[in-house]
Amino acid sequence: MSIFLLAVVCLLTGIALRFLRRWPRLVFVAVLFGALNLFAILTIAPDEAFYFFGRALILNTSTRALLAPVLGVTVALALFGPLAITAPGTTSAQILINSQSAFLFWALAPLVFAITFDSFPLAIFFWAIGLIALVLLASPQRAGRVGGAAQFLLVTVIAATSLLLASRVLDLYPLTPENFDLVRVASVLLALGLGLLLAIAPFQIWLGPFADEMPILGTAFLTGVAQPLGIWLLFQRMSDLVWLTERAPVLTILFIGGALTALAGAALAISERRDGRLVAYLALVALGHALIGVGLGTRAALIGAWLILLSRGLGIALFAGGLSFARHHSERRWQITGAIAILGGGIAIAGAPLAPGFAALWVIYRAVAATNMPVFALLIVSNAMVLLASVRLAWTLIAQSENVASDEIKIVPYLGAGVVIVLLALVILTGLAPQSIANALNEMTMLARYLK
Amino acid sequence: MFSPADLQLITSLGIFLGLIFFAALIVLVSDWRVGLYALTAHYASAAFLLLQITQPSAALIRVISGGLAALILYLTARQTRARNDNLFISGFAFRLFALAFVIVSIVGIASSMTFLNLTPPILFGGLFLIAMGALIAILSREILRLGVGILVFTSGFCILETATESSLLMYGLLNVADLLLALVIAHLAKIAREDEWTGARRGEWQ
Repeated sequence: MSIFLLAVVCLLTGIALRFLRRWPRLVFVAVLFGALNLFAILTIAPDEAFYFFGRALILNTSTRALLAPVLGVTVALALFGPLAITAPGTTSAQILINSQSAFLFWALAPLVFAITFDSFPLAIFFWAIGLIALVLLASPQRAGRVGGAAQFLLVTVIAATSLLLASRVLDLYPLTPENFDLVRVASVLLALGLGLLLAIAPFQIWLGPFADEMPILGTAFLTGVAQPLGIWLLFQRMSDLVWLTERAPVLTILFIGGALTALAGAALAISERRDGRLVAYLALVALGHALIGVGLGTRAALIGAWLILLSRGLGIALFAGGLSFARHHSERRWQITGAIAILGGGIAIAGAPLAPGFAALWVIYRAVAATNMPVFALLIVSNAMVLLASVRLAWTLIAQSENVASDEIKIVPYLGAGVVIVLLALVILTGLAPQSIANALNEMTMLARYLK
Repeated sequence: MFSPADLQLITSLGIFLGLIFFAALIVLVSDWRVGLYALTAHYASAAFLLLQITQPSAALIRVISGGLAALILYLTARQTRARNDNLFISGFAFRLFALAFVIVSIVGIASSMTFLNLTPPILFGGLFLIAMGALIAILSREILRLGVGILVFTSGFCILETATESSLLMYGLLNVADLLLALVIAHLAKIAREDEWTGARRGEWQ
């Protein structure tokens, strides 16, 4: 029942934020109130399995380990929402920007079900619903052409269809184990579905046009919160069906796809000047590293992959928050705050020292270097490019900032700066003591019987 | 006299012809009204196909949810003063050739392979609608027409899903998803043309 309560709180918080969109301070308070409720439910609720139409919704250590960062990153992004609020808008695009935090909570509600459903098809379905709901935040740039948001809808429907068909095929295979065609078909459908939704190279082509039509926080939610769910669902499926990794080259596909994604993300990010696309492409690099971690097929690398995803989520939230400061508050102090957040975000996304991803990269790089030196070198270069792109943007903001005289006392930027400080502290604390999280992740990976 | 097998064949043939006809209208005719009427009518044909694998009440739900989705798109098109030019990225001849290619390909695939133990009529109907939905979406230049393509795609998938999974929950959720998709498409179409239609309401644009 507590799972339904989580979803209801998400929906109600979204409704409250929508009504309060004219008052940024109240939006901030409402997000905090919603966050308190969500984390209270997550902490207090007992481990349980709730049955809905014969399908179980499970709240246990594993699902909590994923729900906590998902809720946390969403709340952080929603807290940055008031930074972008302008004067009461009359156009739909302005209204959307002013109430973007509401849409993040509405998109989160189906994702809660996707995480907790003990049924692959239903989890896929709710994942897709969350992504479709997120598209409501998009603003197509002009009529007379199909924009990135509409294309993303099509991509989501095609990918969800592929994954649901893959699920049917996988269910059928144990009945006819001699029929290897079923495994091959399932592998292709899984690779197509997850490749499209996770934007694994070469399927990342939709990401740029979609980011163009989304606000920064929407793109950050997609990459930092919604995409890791795909890896969670794949991990669960591989844990349930041990024969899947034995009879299909799933791990190899993940490794190669991860390497290509990291390289493609770095190459696209280094030459990118548009904010939305930059966030999306930087996130691809860390996603590629996480996929390699899953593809290595060892427990340490798998824990590393989850740590990278955590570091990536925190980094994306910081980066998006920094851009919100930079683009909506022209005073010098807020430009510098934005630059610091962007730099911190870049460090977390790249898994540099002091970020939780660093410990994970150490494990993964050692394994990759032992077997494939060229890939190891390219991965190092890709992460260096992430840092370079972050430093370049932060430096530009500091260099171009000017003292803009303003007598108006604005509280919201101070509140936003508080969120940046909390996020930076989280990055450093988890970076200094990754074992505190790794223990919880270790328990989660106990489900994975396919590991070497 | 016709045997039951003959009747089944004639019924399936009629349904296929209906599906092909309505899909062809959506692909070939550059008129948003015709496109939406054809979308609504295709749901009726798809429901007849669903009758072979599910209860009449469940098939009726498909018609109702599809009709509501089409209604959402219709109201949006009226509100945004949808136009009939620039609906597709290619000319009539190319669309006709693409339609013929898809029909021939799906007939070839459905008659030469089995998938998840589905009967040939269900496999053909589902794959045909999925392929047509993808074709419509790819050829569209306009958001509402792309939305019609997405709904045709999900209609095809709903047939395959219902044939392979007897879960009423999943069937219901797929119908709800269609409505959500229609709402999101309507929302995107409205925002994309907001400047034009708000101007038109003020009398600035005719």
